Amino acid sequence: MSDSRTTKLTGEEVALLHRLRSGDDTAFAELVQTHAPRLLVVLKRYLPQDHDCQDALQQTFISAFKALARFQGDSSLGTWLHRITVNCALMRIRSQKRSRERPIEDFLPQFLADGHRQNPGSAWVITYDSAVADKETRELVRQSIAALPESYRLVLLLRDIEERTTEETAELLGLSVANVKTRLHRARQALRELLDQHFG
Amino acid sequence: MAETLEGTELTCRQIIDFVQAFLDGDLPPREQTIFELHLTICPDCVNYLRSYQATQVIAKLAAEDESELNRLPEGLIQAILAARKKP
Repeated sequence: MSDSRTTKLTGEEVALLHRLRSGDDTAFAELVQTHAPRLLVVLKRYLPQDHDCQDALQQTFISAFKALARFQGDSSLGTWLHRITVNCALMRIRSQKRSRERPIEDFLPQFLADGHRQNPGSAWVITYDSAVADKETRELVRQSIAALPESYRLVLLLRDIEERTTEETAELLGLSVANVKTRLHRARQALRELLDQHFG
Repeated sequence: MAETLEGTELTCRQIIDFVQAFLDGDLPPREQTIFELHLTICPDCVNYLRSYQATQVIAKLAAEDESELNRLPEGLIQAILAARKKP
């Protein structure tokens, strides 16, 4: 671990890390029980099937256990596990046979010949507070994200939800920076169209 | 983006195509001004711009919501812990 000037770990995490590195079984159980529920929520954004999420969660912890010796403490344990989780989710997606995606054009706004939008709709009547407070709204938004074609959804998740940089996202997905920018814009447009049916 | 905005007037379609570049400050100054000018005369595009921004915020809030965190099945926890001891 790095010295006390650079570590991002709390005192409790330093103690837990020490127990983990000494092979204490109860420390491993504590790590899993503390972090796994939140990591499962992360995995559900990427993997639609429950069994894939559970397998990826298991893989996440196996990878983390193996990497404990190399963990430098330059982020919290939660952040470190989160990054491993996203990598495991992406690896799982890459290993799966791709099903044919619905074209993104199906989700994008339509225009008249003169350049005006076909259905401009009206201003949204939703506040950020209500988007968070209302369980049905949260579920609707999550389902709308899940409905996006995978290659666009992954860019949106990494850029807008994980707040990874364009460059990081490009590297994680094996895309060019320009391609990430284009896909992100289309993903946002598509998600806006899906939500517009409910909020507009 | 590879395309550029040309001319002194924009259509709503061009506004929507370049809304991300506008918000990111990636448009050249002249095009930024033309873009802003369109917004002063087109309420539909103002609505679009606002809902485009709202989409990002709402997506993050909903995706990161943790109010429904569930306790993990004990079997899954045990499977994870048992996997550690496998050679």
